[in-house]
Amino acid sequence: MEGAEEELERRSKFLKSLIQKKKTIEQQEQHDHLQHNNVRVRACDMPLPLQSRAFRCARDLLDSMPPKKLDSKRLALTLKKEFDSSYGPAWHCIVGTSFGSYVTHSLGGFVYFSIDKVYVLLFKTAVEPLDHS
Amino acid sequence: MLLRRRRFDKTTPLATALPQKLTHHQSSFRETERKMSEDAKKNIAGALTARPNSDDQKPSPLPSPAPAVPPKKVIIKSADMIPDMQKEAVDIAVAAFEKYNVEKDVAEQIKKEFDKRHGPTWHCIVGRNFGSYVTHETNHFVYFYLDQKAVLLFKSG
Repeated sequence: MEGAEEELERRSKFLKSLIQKKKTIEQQEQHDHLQHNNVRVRACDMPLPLQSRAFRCARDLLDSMPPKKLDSKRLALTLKKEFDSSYGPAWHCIVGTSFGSYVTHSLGGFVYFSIDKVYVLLFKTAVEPLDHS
Repeated sequence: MLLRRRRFDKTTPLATALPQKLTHHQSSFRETERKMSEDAKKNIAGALTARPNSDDQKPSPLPSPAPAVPPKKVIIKSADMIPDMQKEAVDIAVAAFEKYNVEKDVAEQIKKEFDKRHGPTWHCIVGRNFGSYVTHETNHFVYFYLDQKAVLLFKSG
């Protein structure tokens, strides 16, 4: 019986260390990714995959725009459309260099980040179906 | 479902409000996508003045002790909202700008007032430079300028 307990404890520790190692790797990858794309997360309540999607989308579009000319409307449109189609409605996006806001968002549907010198607010709200009565 | 309110400004430390449960009342909803741009030129035609002109006031026997604050110029850039509600939004915004200096505080005041008066859930953006693309409930969207500041207010969720 003692042998079994020791074995269980050993396995438990091993699994915990595996999980921790995986987390560390994921965080490091995320950090490297952000550094590479000049992205800084200011506030967030969003799973990592969605965050990365937003950053990549923003980076790709900014790179395709003429230097020194920000089309914030187009970036807002692109991000909102992509998230609406990939993760369901309704997403809202605000892009600019000078704004304040106060919003209510769904759990797991919020990120506020800066990329280069522009700030991006992307958040989700619940959508109720049309009243058919 | 749980919703979380979040307030922030790009230069202010952030804090997260406690999650709270919101009740969704039965109502029709149609997705209307609307885009705003900071590049939009101001259209003077149709401009509104938030405060009455001094000419409209009764002549006072006593001169006012201090020069009157010039009324803020109001320009409704885009709206899908009944006129009374539009005016309400402008009035609340004017009061908020007088009370607060930070844009996020102005946004907070406006959003909370509308959540209270017209039911949740409203969202407000205030600033000098931003573009946006949002989905809002029918008849619940307004975008206007108060002098140099743009205000975006809409209902969704």
